[in-house]
Amino acid sequence: MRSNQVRATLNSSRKNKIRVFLLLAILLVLPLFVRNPYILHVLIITALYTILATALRLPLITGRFNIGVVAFAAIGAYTSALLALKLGVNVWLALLAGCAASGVAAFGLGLIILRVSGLYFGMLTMCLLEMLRYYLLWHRKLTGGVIGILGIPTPTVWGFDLGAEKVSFYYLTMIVTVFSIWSIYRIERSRAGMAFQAIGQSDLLSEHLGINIARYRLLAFVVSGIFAGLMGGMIAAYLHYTSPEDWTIMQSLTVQIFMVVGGRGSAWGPIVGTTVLMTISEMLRGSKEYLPLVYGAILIPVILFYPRGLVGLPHSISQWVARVRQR
Amino acid sequence: MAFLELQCLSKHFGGLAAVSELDLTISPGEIRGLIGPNGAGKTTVFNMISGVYKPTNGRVIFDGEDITGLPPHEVAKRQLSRTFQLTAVFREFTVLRNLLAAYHLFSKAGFWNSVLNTSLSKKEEEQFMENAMETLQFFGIEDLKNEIAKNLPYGHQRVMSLGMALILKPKLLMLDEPVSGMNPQETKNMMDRIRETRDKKGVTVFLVEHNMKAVMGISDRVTVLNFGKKIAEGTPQEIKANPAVIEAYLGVEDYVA
Repeated sequence: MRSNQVRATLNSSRKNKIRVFLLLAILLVLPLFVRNPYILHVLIITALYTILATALRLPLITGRFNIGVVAFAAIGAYTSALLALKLGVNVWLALLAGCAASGVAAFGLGLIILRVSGLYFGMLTMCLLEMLRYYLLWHRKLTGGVIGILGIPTPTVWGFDLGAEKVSFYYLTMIVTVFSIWSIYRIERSRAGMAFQAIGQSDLLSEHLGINIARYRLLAFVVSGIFAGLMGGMIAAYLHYTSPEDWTIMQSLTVQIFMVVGGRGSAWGPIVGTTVLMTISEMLRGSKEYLPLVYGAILIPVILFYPRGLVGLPHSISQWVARVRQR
Repeated sequence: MAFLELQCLSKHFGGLAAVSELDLTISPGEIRGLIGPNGAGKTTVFNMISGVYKPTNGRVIFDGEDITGLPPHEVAKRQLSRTFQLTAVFREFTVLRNLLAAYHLFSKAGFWNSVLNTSLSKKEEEQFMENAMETLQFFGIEDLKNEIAKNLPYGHQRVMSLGMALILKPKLLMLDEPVSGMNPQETKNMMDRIRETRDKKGVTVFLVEHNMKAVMGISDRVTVLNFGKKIAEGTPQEIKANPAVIEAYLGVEDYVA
């Protein structure tokens, strides 16, 4: 019985490795077969949103639902865009500075707002996002106001502009995305990650085991902010454009929906959720006004009947098949 | 020689004095029972020692150091650990992972080693795993290691919590109703484990318990609280014969009946 369990966990970790390998292989060779720039464009946007949906999970594990997560992406986007455009900073450095700015913002805000829990935390983050948007809208001299910032440069490698071709930016995006998801996954699996999960389940017990709960919550929040900032900087560079309209509460909620539909409990959740919902949203491109309706129609049954999200589906289906066969 | 010393410790919630001017001294290696009717302030005393509450007045001296008002994670660092009345476990973790989480303070590998899963970190985690298995064996629950904590019966959750508390290598172990809800056999096992812990590891034990037979059987000395005040202290025999204690408890029983 015990050896069976050991075998089962080994099997699942091997299966996981195979899945990762397959996914990476597909991502690597895809541009050889898919030349359609529109499809590459969708893949790039999907990958970048996957970073955001993944980053969102870290504070959630510690019991803090950051409803205004795109605020940190916006900080990354504006910081890197302004540095590159107005001060002529190297685009790579500007992207890093964007991450740093988001991280610092997460640190400063986290010190204050992480004390609050549950719904109140969500409301606070939502308000902060709105405050940031107002700042971006009204501090026109710096941020360009409602028009936003145009002509943001893309990074270059030895003089070659990665934004010149969809394919090159596709590869850059995939490297950044895989690196981000892998980093967050490793953190989740580390001692710090164990502390995050412990705190999410019981503040009281965690404290009494010597875990500094305030410090670990802050760590989760800052890491999440850094990767959100990276996503923001990347997408602004890719679109050569960012404006307050890209970072609304609706956008933020959409990211939450990606994560929840995919599955909160697993690192695969945000990847699957973002991919599936982005695909649906692209298929409905002609009638965008119905999109929230469709999201809602998917989200509600998932929350009610399937809190493990889409990633839990294969397991449930195989169980169901086994049960039917037994009869 | 005092190991844990409470000096004139008080806690007021608004106008209510949950604990008032409590003086209490525990010597090293002692098993001390804390009893009293419901609402006497026993758990409040624990909460003030472990740092959940800041005392309104008074001081907590542990092992020669003033730890009054330190947050719980700082208190835990000083090798003072406790369990909770309403069993606190990490409900979604397996039994083994619950114990592994308790090694937090002993992890020396640091953030980056752990994130990059270096050999240093791997070795450390393997060591923790081995030690955790020993703890599970000590309590005879090694077969449950892969069970999710929330699926366990309360008795086993209690035992597991005690295991987690012991992993902190405590000098002082505070147990809040360790056997409530257990049957007589489980109670006896638990009490044997607690006594064994004291005898073999020299851990000082401070426990709150309503099961009189258990607490009188195991304690070297017993302190009795009523309405936040100490009304008696002594060996179990002395306490059983103390008229003030009998009155406090009889009063409660009269009320219940």
